[in-house]
Amino acid sequence: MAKYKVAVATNDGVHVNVHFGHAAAFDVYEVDDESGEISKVEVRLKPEHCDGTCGSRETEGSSMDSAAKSLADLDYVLCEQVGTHAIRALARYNVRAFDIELPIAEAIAKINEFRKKIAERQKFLNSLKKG
Amino acid sequence: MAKILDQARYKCALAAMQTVQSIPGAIPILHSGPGCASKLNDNNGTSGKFSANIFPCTSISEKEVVFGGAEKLRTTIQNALRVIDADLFVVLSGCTGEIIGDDIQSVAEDFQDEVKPVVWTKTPGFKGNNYIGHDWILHGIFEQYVSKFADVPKEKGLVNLFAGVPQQDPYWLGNLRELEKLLQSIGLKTNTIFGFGRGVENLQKIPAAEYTILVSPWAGIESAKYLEKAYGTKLLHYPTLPIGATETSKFLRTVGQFTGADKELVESVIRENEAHFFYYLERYADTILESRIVSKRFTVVSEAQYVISVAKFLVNDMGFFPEKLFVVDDTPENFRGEVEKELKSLNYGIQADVEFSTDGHAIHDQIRQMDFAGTPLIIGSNWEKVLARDVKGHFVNISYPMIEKIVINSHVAGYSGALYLLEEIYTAALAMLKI
Repeated sequence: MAKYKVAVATNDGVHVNVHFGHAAAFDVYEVDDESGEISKVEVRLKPEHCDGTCGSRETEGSSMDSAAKSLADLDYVLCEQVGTHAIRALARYNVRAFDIELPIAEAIAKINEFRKKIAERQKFLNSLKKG
Repeated sequence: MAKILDQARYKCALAAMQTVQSIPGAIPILHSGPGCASKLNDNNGTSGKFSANIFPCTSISEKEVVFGGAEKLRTTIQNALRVIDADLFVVLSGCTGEIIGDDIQSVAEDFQDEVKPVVWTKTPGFKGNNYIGHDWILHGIFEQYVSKFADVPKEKGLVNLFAGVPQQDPYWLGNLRELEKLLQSIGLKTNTIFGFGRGVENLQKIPAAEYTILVSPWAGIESAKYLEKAYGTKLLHYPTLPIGATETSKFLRTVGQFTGADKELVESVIRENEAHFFYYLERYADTILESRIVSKRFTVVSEAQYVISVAKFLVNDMGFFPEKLFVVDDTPENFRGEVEKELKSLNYGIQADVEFSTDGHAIHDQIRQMDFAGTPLIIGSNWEKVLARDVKGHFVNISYPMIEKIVINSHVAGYSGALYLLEEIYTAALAMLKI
């Protein structure tokens, strides 16, 4: 089992309570898959991405793309609200974004629970293949 | 080894939302992905009160899968109650909701005190198809809504009538109305919940009925049995949809005996209907007896209901001979014996071979090898249309998927339905002869 990273848009360090677009920085947590232990490892600055143009802003080289790129090494992004353009821009770097209003610890615990289920299922599927 | 699903002939359990949509005044609320809702919604008309394309859905996405979808369901129900003027809301869960384990029961039960009734049924596709889903949904409605009217006094001669699965069986509505008329002709009062002028009010009358008659080989059996258990409504499970003189007269006699209807009346209704039926057959005898127009051998590829009923009609009334027949509705194992029994007891000692299969490709391969001793007569669905073209056969579409034909309220049940089926068969044949 490995560790994965979650970026959280927050202004109090306790709740997921900032919109993706409004967040100048994200608290980044490292989570241990096995134990579910979380630790804040850094504050990641995000470049200003709102350049006033709408439309296909998530395309490569766009300001939305550079915002997404700055989070590309992470696994999840949690925000109070996040638009479809941002979701798609992040998905391009295999980063999942969710709009969720929960305390940070609770939200990450749910993600961890979900990952465990998926891992179990994968294990089961692999055992079928071998069998 | 995994198989490719070829030629779908039914849909998943969630598609039985069509059962809800066929009850005027009732509307489904789907707890599923948006794709389920749009994919399954291919029906040609719903309750009459709402558009076929407008019903609430929680549109589950990745977020609900990770964080749970119960809250989304709660707000969806809340808003549905605010903006939709329905008489009954039926919450149905698809695979996604059931896999992530959302408790739709507790969410739906939080709406117990609303003016409008909210009931729920779990209909994940991984647990069964829409024939079974139909049964689950009726069971859910009976248990959670109809039960509120359990104390209504029994009404003498009132019969709850259920037949083909709404909208999965293309002739469901016409057949239901025709069976209704037949029962009324022998002095019974009928109570149905589907189609024009029926609906939620008739759901409330269900416990008042003395009898339930289910005309279906297996679909709908659990919910019908539930009525017997819960309200003491005696159940007549009649596996054969009656088509033609032999079967319809047998049906009327059985129902008459079961309900204690006036014997004289039953016999006089049968006499009159048979005379009427054979008058038409006689008028067209020269066409029907001419074996160069339609040869005498046929096969049916359809749900259990039509395999039994069409085979019985064509053999018992028309003197046709069955080739191997194919039941494609995934009939549960415990009912297969019953279906076979029906097909082994045709008139003149004829026993039809039957295969239960959902593998369209393998079925078609077998039909291609059959010797029909003339032009093949193939009764099935749109999948068989292509096959019939290949083998230069006569083709009549009678079951899902029915793409090139629209059925509004035609029926194949009863005496008159049999004549309609003959029209279909001979039209298909003559269309190949004449220009």
